[in-house]
Amino acid sequence: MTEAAKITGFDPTLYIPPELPEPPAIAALDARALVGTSDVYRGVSLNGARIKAAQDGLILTGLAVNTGTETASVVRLTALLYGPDGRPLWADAGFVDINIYPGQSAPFSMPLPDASEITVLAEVSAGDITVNGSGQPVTPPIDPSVASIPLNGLGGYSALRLSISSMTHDPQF
Amino acid sequence: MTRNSDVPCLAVFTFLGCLGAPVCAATESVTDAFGIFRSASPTEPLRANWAGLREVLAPMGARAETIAPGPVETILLQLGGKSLSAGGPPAESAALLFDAAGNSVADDTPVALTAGTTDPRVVATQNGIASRLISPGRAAGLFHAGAASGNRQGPRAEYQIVSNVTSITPQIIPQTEPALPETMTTLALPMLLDRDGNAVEDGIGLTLLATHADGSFSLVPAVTTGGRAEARILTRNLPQQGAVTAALTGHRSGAQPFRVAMLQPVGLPEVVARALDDAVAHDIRIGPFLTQAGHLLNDGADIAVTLTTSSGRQLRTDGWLADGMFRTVQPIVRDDFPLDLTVTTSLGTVSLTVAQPGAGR
Repeated sequence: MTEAAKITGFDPTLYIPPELPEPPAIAALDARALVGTSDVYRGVSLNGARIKAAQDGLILTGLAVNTGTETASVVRLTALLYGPDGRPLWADAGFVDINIYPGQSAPFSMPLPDASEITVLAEVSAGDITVNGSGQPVTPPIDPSVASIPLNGLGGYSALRLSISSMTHDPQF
Repeated sequence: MTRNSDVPCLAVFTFLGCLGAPVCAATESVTDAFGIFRSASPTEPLRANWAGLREVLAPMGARAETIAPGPVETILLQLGGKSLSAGGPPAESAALLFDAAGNSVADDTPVALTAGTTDPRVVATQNGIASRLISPGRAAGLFHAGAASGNRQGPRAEYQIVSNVTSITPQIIPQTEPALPETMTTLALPMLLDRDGNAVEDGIGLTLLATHADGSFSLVPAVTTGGRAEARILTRNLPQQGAVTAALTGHRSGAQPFRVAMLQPVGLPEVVARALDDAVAHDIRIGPFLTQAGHLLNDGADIAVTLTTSSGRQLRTDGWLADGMFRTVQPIVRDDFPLDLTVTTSLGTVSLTVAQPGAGR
């Protein structure tokens, strides 16, 4: 049997974590973004969300509601968790399992790690941040008290900021 | 003579030139930063006009000469950074000036730079570039910029100054009455004006955050249109009392009460318990949960159930409704009946009893 014949197909669940020869000592942040004016859908809101302690950290639950006129697909929730000092400590993403049709809703559940599980490897100073190829100073980070949910130490965090994004592709099946 | 036929002769010429014997050429040749060419070559008419220092190799010896750039022929204008906000930091307007041969014009060539409503300013070129800083001013809008020198001017450039979004503190127009359950309700914000009275541009995203009396919260995105913003909320799975704030960049509005009228139930849900064949447990189904709005309670609605057995043992479970029903499997046996159930949904809390397996209510 040839090597090509042994390949059984693409496995979307296969994940090979990166292996580093030694623990990283420094960190830098390089962000790039383009302003998109199409395929951006802001018709999905979160209703009645709750965050509570779970066995292995925190669990965020709620109802994703499509209040717009398009079918929302690949609904993504991004959670930014602030540490006790008010600085961003952890960011995570979760997805709603199904497409949400206009006026309909779907429950979501998203696990988040406890702050004690997170090891800070390095500080990222302003000089280590590059945005769109520029090292110019960026806008100061937004005060975590604005548009965020206070956690008051739950899971070792001070606040949670959520954002929602989705696409509008409807595969019609 | 073709360009290729020049090559052997030029190679010999270069070799002899390196020996300090610039001979044999019937016409002058020129070396510049890009190589060697015959000054009289019809294939290089433009290159003869390239400005800068070069060496002319003639039968009588070599000489250095400097070709000065010609008068302004082309002006290109660039104005940036990418985002200019009213009252924000200045931007640089830079004009590049070239002569007919593409050379940068001579230093100290006067250039008039204009931008928006600012007065024109005459700036001298340096290395072919004339630049000045442009203050965005305090008015948002579309503006024009230009550059002129001698009897030439560059094409008009357009630039936009946007409102100073970071200076806007949003507000929310209070509700006049509680929103009806299971309906689309709108929370509106009054005109969003920056510190200089400029209306915010279309497409700016805001976030409305509602905190509810039961400790849950809701997140609703909104987008500006025509200087205003509206957030559409589907009043589903929301408690009756809460407060909502709007956030734009780093500013947050004051909290406004957000009230939702309670959805009323119609009748009591049925309860059916069936013993499982392959486990010491019962499959319990509760529902349908009907509403006075003429529909089932929505999929994903929270439900909490407490079961109390005949011996007083309590079991608690929670979850979500699907198709107006809730289903759970609990480790109870026939002797645990009758079962008392306390069921809490957004329709309220009801008490139900199951006398025996297979029966309800």
